[in-house]
Parts: sequence; structure tokens; C-alpha cells
Amino acid sequence: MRKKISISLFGLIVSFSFLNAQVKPADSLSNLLVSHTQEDTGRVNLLNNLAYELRRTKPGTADSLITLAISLADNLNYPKGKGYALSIEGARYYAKLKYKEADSVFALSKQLLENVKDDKDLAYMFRTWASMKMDEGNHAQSLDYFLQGLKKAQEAGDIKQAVDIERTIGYLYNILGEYEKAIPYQTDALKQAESINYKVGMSGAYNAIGKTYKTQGNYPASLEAYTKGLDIDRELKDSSGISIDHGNIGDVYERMGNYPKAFENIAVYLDFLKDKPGLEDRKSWGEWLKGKAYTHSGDPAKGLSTAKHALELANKVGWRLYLREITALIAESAAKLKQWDIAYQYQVLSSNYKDSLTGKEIAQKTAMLQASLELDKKQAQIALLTKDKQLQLAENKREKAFLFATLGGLAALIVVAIMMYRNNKQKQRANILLEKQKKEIDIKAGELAVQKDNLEQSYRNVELLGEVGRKITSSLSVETIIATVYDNVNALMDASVFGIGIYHEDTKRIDFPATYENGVALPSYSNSIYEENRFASLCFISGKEIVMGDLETEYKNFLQDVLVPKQGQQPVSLIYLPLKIKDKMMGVITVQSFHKNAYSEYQLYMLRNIAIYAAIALDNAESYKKLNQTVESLKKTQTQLIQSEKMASLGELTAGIAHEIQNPLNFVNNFSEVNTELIDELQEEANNGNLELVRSIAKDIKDNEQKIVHHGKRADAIVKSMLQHSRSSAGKKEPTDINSLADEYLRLAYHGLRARDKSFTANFKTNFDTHIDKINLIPQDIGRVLVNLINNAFYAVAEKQKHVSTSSTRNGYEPTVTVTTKKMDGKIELKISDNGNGISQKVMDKIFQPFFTTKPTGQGTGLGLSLSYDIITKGHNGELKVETKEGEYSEFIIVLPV
Amino acid sequence: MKILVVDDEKDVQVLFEQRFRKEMKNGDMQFAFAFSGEEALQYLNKLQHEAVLILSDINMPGMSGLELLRHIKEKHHEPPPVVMMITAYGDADNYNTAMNLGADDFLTKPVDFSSLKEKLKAIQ
Repeated sequence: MRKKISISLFGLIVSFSFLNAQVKPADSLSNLLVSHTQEDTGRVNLLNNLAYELRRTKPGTADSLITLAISLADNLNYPKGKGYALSIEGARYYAKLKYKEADSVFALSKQLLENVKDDKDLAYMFRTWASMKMDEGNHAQSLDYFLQGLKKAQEAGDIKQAVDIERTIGYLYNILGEYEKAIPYQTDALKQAESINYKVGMSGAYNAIGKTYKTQGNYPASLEAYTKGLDIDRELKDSSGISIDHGNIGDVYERMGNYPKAFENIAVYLDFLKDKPGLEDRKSWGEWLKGKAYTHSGDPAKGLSTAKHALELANKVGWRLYLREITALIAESAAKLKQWDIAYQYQVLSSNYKDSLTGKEIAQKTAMLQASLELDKKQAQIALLTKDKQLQLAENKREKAFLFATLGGLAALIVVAIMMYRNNKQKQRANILLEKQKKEIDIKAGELAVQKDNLEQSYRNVELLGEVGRKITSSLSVETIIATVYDNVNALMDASVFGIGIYHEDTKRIDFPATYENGVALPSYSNSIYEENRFASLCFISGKEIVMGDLETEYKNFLQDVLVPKQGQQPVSLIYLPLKIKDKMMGVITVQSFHKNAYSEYQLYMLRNIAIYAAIALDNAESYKKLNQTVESLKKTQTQLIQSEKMASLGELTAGIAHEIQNPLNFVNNFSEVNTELIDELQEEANNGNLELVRSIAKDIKDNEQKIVHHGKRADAIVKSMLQHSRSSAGKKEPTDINSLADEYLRLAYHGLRARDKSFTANFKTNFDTHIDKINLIPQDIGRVLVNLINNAFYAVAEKQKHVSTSSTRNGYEPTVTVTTKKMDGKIELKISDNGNGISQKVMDKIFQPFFTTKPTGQGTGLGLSLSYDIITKGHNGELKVETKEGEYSEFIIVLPV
Repeated sequence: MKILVVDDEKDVQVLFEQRFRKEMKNGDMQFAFAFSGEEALQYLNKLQHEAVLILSDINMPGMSGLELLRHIKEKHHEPPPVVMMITAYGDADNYNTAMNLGADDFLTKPVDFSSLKEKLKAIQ
């Protein structure tokens, strides 16, 4: 077994010497490993060190080395070596984004290394684990591990490690938005790294500083830091680091609005990743950067597709860190493209990522974690003091025994004895002092125990509040939020009266939509914020807490007079807290009791925290309501636009209608007049007894009469169709001759176009299948579709004609629009074809989207085809298809079920 | 007098034949009909000088009446025939275009045949 390992290892080593000529430490390590054939702990260490060196550059080899190290450490029963190997293995899992596997490996590593008190390796393990937790978005856990790691690094005197941890803590505070805490860690990291000329650490510290300034919006300072980091990385020839620096610099330029520089740097960043397998998280980040730059520089379509790609990459490997930003970018780009549904969907998604851990919660958890660290330090001091004291006591005892012996044996030496006595006296005094010190230490230890209890209690509170917070903030309805807050407050304190007042900017009033008294909901009421002698108004205006244990004696501290409550009874104890989020006042929360001094400090503390959650929840609810209002108003606008589209197409038709009416009228008028003349002639010829002529004239009269009727009906149909077209909707399905409908609208559309553009000419043809029976449809809706499609067809041939007539090759282009009907099995096909410019694939993808138009601004609403599509598919269960060849023809095919 | 009537509405032929039946019977006027601008041009190319007067609709599929007018006035046909435009659109735009292209008169639909007859007589 062991032999096998060493043979396979030799194979590996040989290959390194070829592959890693530039990696000096790895080279010398592999040489050492080749010469060190003994299967002992030294070999485990060599394997580990080599695995650590190669973990990034040759991850596959590193994995093999780790496996070998673990199995050899197991054989040798060498926990330190195994623990370190596991921590590198954890780092590898982390790099592969396998967080679960990494967690269990780190936990095992921690256990082994703690048992052997290997502070140096523990520091490395904690740092790696903490970084992973930070990436996972588990910030509290991350900070805990960082602080433990920092402690271990300091204890082990490992400055490099401490530098790396400090700057990463800076990152974490950055993410938490606590810049003032981030900067000292980062500048200290830089100072320490410089003190030992630790280049990698300096580069890392610059990177961290750059990030803090970037997040703060201090872009020049950020650029300076990143550029310094880049210089060092170039010096180190760290290609991965150089890539990341470019990514960050690109990000800063993007934020500054310098898009050319942004694109340039982002390209360098992505170029490095291009041929690398894996690294989806970094690729995703790069795509997000690029997408952001596209959208902000005026190409939201590219931005949208790039952002979607970023999301795909992140989802592929479960990388959460930038999900919020990526989805927000998708929403922003879609909004710019007026794709409201996508924008809305991703905005909601993004705000859901927003507060998986709210800022407040993190702040409390991190405070807790720091306090625990301080406590540990104090306990270590106590242990040290106690040790000193015990040593001194032992010393003292030894001296006492010596004194008694000399007293018995050397009585003559009184002077000496006296001196010794005095000496003893001093020792005793020292003893007393020590006793006193011991007592002090005991008291301190007691205090610390109490502190520890308090901390544990407050940790439990944090957990409880976290739970309450999740419940409260999970709803978007004001009523549900108030009820949930009430339930939680009621479980913690006497909430005989409970209410939440919500401030409304427009009325300047605080509304209490649901107040509870003894568990019963009171009718809603409201206060003006200017109402004097109302606690709610006072609390809101001043933004200060009102806390009273006995209303009767204390109210004068706040109000001149106490008014009778608008609803319910006068309480004895009460608390009013302002509800605010950042600097925005949302309203007030109150609990009241009919007993004196009903509320403890602890309960006040809990209520304060619940108030924070309530404010967040109400703010979310308000945002949600606003979003819904926006959606509503968008819907309204859409309806108006659809109506205006109908009116626009009616306008396009009126000219055609006028022409179409004048023509039949021409016949009706003239044939009537002719008939009058003919009747005169008829009478004349009748009088003359010219019977043959009479018959011939009578026949003419009859023929003319038929023409009058025909053209009269034609005019009637035109007027009816115009009225139908202008009617808003709610048409009924009726049996309709699709051929005559198509014919009528074809003529209307053509003449409409001609009326508006005198220079326009085109052929139009019909190719009707006369075997089609009447089919059930809504004539005005289908008519609207026909007008749209036919107008588009004429527009297409007109565009082509313009182009042809301006180009030199006037090769006899005949603009033609054809309407074809065809009876098929169980359905009717209606085809509008034109020999215009056709539709490009790019345009094709969008033609049925609302507001998409290729016409110049003001000439098209962009609603025609999307409306047509809805009418055919939703209104008639039909299909609307397009066939086209760019530059040659377009064919819109309507298929209607019979 | 030979008159060519150009209109895409087929019933126009019947109407003219009825309206001018006396003039046709007398041999005062002879009518020919074309149902598009193209057909009208073909007729004129084949039978030059046949038509003294052309009555043309403006709005027709394919070649419009105005285009036809331009063809007639710009090219061949010496002496140029009298061309009267008849249209459903009596707007100023249409009127000016037709006149600039050299139309001799401009009538609107529905056509007032008694006034048309007077105009024709005046030309004769």
C-alpha cells in the first residue's frame, strides 16, 4: 500500500518539474519530496506544503497530494498533518463552490487542530472558512470565524496571516456597510504587510481599501488604491490577481460613467477567465459588470442579455453574493426597454434577496460576536493573574518554614532574627495584599460571569428578535403586519392596549387602522400630527420615545394636559416609540397597560427592536403598494394607448372611407337622374305608341335601378363598418363573409394611404376562395387586424419603392399587395402578402411586442401587431404567423377555426 | 368628338353611356373606356389622336390619374388632348397638383353631368 503511494507520487512529481518551471517554492518542495522517501510526518508536511502551493495553479495535482497526505497522516496517526491537509481540502471545496462538503471538512480540521493546539494552521483554516461564509452571505458566521482566526494568528505570531485576515474583515464590514469599522482593519493590514515587505498582503490590502472607497463612492481614492494593487500584482506576475484588479478598476470607471475605460478593463478581466474551466462566480461578476456598463451607456438590450447570462452563471453554481445586484440590473435594463413584466418580476426578486439578513440583525450579531471575543481575552488575563498569585503563595510558604528553622537553631542571632521577623512582616503584608487582590479577582470573575449570562441572554434575545423580525417582515399587507407585531408584542409584555400609527404625508395625519384593547380590535381613528396633547403626535414630531410608569404623575413631563383617548380607556403605563427607517419617519408604535410600572427595561429594549422590524415591514408594504400602483397606472396607460391606436387606425381609414362613399354616391345620384330622364322619354315613346322602344327604355330603367340599389347598399356597408371600427370593443361574434370583409378593408386601407400620400401607388390583388361559408367572428375586430396588416403591407412596398426609385437600378419593381383566402380542413386561412423589404430576424423577434415599431417616431404606436395578435389568438382562438425573406417578401397568415 | 373615360369603377361605363346616350346616338360624341391608367396609355399609344378629351379618375390602383396626366402632358400626343380630372377628393392639394401637371379642368364626384356637358360643348 505504502509502496504504491510513493510510486504514484513519484509520477506526479516528475510531471511538476516540467509544468511548473516558474513556481519556485513548488519546485524546491517537489525536489525535497523526491529526495524525502521516508514515510514519516515530515513527508506529510511536505505533501501538505506542496498541495498548498499548488492549490490554485494546479488544483488537480493539489487534490491528489491532499489525498496522499491524509492517508499517510492516518497511517502515522498524525492529527496535526491531517488537520492541515483537511483545511486545504476545505479550501479546494470552497474554490469549487461546494459549500456543504467544505463545511464538514473544515469542522473536522478545526477539531483536530484544536486538539493539538496548532494555532498557525487554525488561523489559516478559520480565515478560509470565514471567507467562504462571507461568499455564502452568512456574514455573522463569517465574522465569528475571522475573529477566531485573527486571535489564533496573533497567538501564533503569524503576521502574514493576521494581515490577510484583517483586510478580509475590512471587506466584510464593507459588505455590512460599516465603513468606519472597515478602514482601521484595512490600513492596519497594509501597515503590517509593509513592515515585513509582504507583497501579497500589500496587494490584498490595497484591494480591500479600493473596495471600501468604491462602496463609499470615493472613486478617485478607490482607483488609486486599485492601481497600486495592480502594480504590485504585476511585480508578482500574479495573472489572476491582475485580472481581478482590472475587473475592479473597470467597475470603478463604470460607476464614474467613463464607459470606454470601463469596457476596456472589464474586457481584460473577462479575457483572463475565457479559457478557464469553472470559475463561474468570477465570470458571472464580470458579465454583471459588462451588462451594467451596457445598460448605463445606453444599450439596455445588450445589458439585459448580458445580465441574464450573469444570472445563469451564478445560478449554475449557486453563487449568491451578487444575486441582488444582478437581478436589479435585469430589472433596470428591462424597464429601460419598457418590458414592464420582466422589470417587475426581477425587481421583486431583487428586493427578496435584499434582506435575507437585515442590516440591524447583522449589527447585533456582530456586536455579540465581538463581545464574546473580548470576554475570552479577559478570561485569559484572569487565568494569568491567578497563576502568578499561586506562585507567590508557594514561594511565601517555603520562606516561612525556613524562618522557623533558623529561629530554633540560631537564637543568638537576634538582629538577624529581627530582620527576618521584619522581613516576615513584610511578607505577611504582601500576603494580605495578595488576599485582597484575590478577592478583587473573584469579584471580577463574578462580574464577568454575570456579563457572560447577560451576553447569553442577549444572544437568546437576538435569536428571538431574529425570528420575530422574519415573521413581521414576511408580510406585505399593513393589516397582517400590525396583527403579527401585536401577536409578538403580546407574548413579551402586557399589551392591554396596542396600536401602530401610520403617518400619511398627504394628510399630515397618523392613522391607527387597527388598535387592540384587551385583545379586541378598536375602530380605526387618526390624529393630526399637529394635535397638541396627543402622545402619538408628540412622539412623531419629536422623534423621541415616551415611556411612563404612572400616567397621572408623569404626563406633565410631556404634555400640558392629558386628553381622553380617541378610542378605548385611559391607560396607566405607556410606551410610545417612533417608527423610523433611516431618517424617514413612518409612524409610531404604542403599548399601554392599566397597571403601574408595567414595563421593564428589557421589555422596552425588545419593543425598540420590534419597532425597527415593524418600520422595515411597513416600509416594504409601502414600496409594494407603490409598485402595485405603478403597475395599475401602467395598465391604465396601456388601455388608453390601445384606444388611441384604434382611433389612429380610424383616422387612417377616414380618407379611404370618404373616397369609397363618394364613388357609390356618384352612381346613386346620376343613375337616379338618368332614370328620371328615361321615365320622361318612356312616357313620350308610350304616347307615340313606340312599344319596342318603350320596352328597351324600361329595361334600362330597371338595370339602372339595380345599380342604384347596389351602390346604395355599398355606401351603407361602408358607413356601418366605419361605425363598427370606432366602437371601443365588446363586439359580438356573428356569421361573416370573410371574402367581402377582406375586400372592403383592402380597398379602405389602400385609398386611405393614397389619400394621405398622393405619390403612393401600388397594385393590390385578391385571390379569394369562393367556397368559404360564413364564419363566426367579430367583424370589427378582424377588420382592425386586416387594416393593420394591410397598412403594414402597403407601408413595406412603399418603403421598397422609395429605395428602388432612388437607386440607379430601376428594374421594374411592381409594388403589390395580395389578399388570399383559402378553405382548409376545419379552418380558414387568410393571407396578406407583400413584395416589400421583408423582415429581418432581429426585428422578427419583437414584432408582436407592444410598443415595438420600425416606423419613424410619431408614425406608429407600436401597438398594431400586438393588438392584432391578441385579437386573433385570444379573441378567436386562431393563429397569426409570419413568413418572410429579407429584401423579398412578407406574408402574414391568419388561421381561424371554423 | 372622341372622349376617353378612365376609371377603375366598371359601372362608370354604363353611367356615361346612359348620360350621353343622345349625344352618342347623334354621333356628336364617341366614348372609349379604360379601367386603369395603364390601359389608358395603351389605348393612346395604339390610337394616337383618337381621343380629343380624356376624363380620368385620380385614385386608381396601379398608375394613378395624376401619373397618367403627367405621361400624357409630358410625352407624345401632339396636339395634346384636353384632360379633365374627376376625383372624390376635392381638396386644394389634389387640385393644385393636377393643375400644375397641366390638367385642363378639375371635377369632383358625385359628377354633375349637366355642368360636364356644358364644359364639353364649350370645348367643341
